[in-house]
Amino acid sequence: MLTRVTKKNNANKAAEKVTKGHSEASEAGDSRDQRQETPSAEKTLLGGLDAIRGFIETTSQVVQQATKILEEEIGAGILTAKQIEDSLINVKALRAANAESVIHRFRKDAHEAMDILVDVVGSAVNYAEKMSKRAVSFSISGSAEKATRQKTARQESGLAPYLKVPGVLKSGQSIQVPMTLENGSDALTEKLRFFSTDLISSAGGRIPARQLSFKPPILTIKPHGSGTILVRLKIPSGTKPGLYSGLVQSSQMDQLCAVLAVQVG
Amino acid sequence: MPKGNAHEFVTRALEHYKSLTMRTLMAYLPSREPKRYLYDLVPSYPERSGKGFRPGLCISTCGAFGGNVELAVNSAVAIEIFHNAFLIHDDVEDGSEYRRGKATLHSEQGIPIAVNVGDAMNVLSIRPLMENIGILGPELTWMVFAEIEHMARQSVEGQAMELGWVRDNACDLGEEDYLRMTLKKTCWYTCIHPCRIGALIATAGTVDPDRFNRFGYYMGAAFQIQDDVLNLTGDKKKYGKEIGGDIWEGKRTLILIHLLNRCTEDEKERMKRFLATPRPSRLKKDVQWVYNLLAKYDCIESARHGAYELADAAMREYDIVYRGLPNSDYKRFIENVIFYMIERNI
Repeated sequence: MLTRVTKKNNANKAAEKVTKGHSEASEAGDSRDQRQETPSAEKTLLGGLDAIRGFIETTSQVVQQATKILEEEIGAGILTAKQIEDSLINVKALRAANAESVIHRFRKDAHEAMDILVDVVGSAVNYAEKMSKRAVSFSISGSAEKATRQKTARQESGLAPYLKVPGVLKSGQSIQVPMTLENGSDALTEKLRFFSTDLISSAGGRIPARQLSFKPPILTIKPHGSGTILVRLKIPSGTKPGLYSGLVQSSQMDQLCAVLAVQVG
Repeated sequence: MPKGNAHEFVTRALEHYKSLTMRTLMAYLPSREPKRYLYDLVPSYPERSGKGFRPGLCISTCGAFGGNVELAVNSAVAIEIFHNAFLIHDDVEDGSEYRRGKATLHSEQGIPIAVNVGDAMNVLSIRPLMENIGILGPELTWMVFAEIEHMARQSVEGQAMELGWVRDNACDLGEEDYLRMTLKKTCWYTCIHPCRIGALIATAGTVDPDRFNRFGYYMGAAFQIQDDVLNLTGDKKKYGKEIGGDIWEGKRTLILIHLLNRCTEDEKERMKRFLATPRPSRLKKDVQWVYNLLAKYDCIESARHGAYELADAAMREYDIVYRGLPNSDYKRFIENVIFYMIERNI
């Protein structure tokens, strides 16, 4: 049942009040920022009760209704979000160090269009948690048709997993970084051979691609299995400090690529 | 400061925020085939003379909280693209003929093409959010994603309520129903989330975004009610849509809901028959009869007063939410935009 917004007198009073408020605001500019807090805003129980009473007495019915609805909707929203979280994401696990299994589950559960977003989460988690054991991990999932669609999505989005070698390397130093790949499909992968572009820095410095090698040189991954290759990198003597990055890519499936970055100090 | 100057200040600030947003937005639009049927049509709505409240609130809140506003631009762009996608679909759903002074996209291009352009814009709104990861880092990017997800879901839920009421010829609605629908359809994505996102970006996620809920809701509801008032009383050239369109469409605005609750039983029966008539079959004389009833029961004026009361409440919330922040043009914009929204004629 409808409650009328205002009686005419109240409405006129409100309009006057508003006009006055606006005029004050306009004339005083930001001077309202220097206003003192009203006593009702004090953080005491009595002050709180007074504030509520004051709110009810001075606030119009439409505003009171709006406030009530907002509280209800927020309450309902929190419940819904919790239900979705429970069914899709294990938040505790996501916040834990190894989030890969959660991401994998989310990837399976979510709508295909969400896959793009999940890629962001995956790379975000990698980046944020500085995964030292596995520098890069991504799956080759689904049928050939799905793989093609994913390839298109990734390429169009320009998104590739971001592999940051932990720590700061010195000129002349060598390092090995394990890279794990998952095959989520029902078929054996083709023989995968990996290549890299030169790594370049924003200042124009360059680490040639020949300074990177992969062991084993060829990798085949069983259905629903995983495989690891070691990325070996030698920083040439005389390399100037900076963040160097390049693209690591496979020979058979060009959607399998990752950005490799290394900080030289 | 004289009122005129405050109005001019908000107008100029909106133009500035819009140009900042549009520059980035256009850079995100692909230049490739199919151009004629898709990509050439995507800029159609964003390039029209929209007010740009949403990116304006996002960017200015970021600035008011001391953030680098450049960091908020991608999120503002995503909100604006989403908004325009929503408008394209909304125009199809409502059978509207004009938007921002020009023919609606589906009137120009046909419904199937227009719906697909709207779909494309929803997809395109994802990209700037993805790009956030290199700008904001993973945690903040995820927070903004969560905000956008909630924003989009609330919008479609609110839209569903409004469309359902028209389809089922709901005539026993109250003010509370309207306020709930407006919260979901308009307020989250027009005011609440733009402010929340701007502040989250400015504070690297440390601000409690819920502080903006009441402020944004009161302001958004006032904005929507004013929009409904303008739809019935505005100047077509300035407003950019057909005047009285909401009556022709049978939209359950606060004004119409007031009328259904104030008129006599006989008048209500005739209103029900009018609203049950498909839009193409409605007659001009019947629309005029509804206009006369609105005047008889003072429905437009009372809705206008409701908008002012909500704007007044928003101003009180502004004092709470933005209190203590250093004075700046960003803060001044937010303070003045509240009444700009309900005093506008466009």
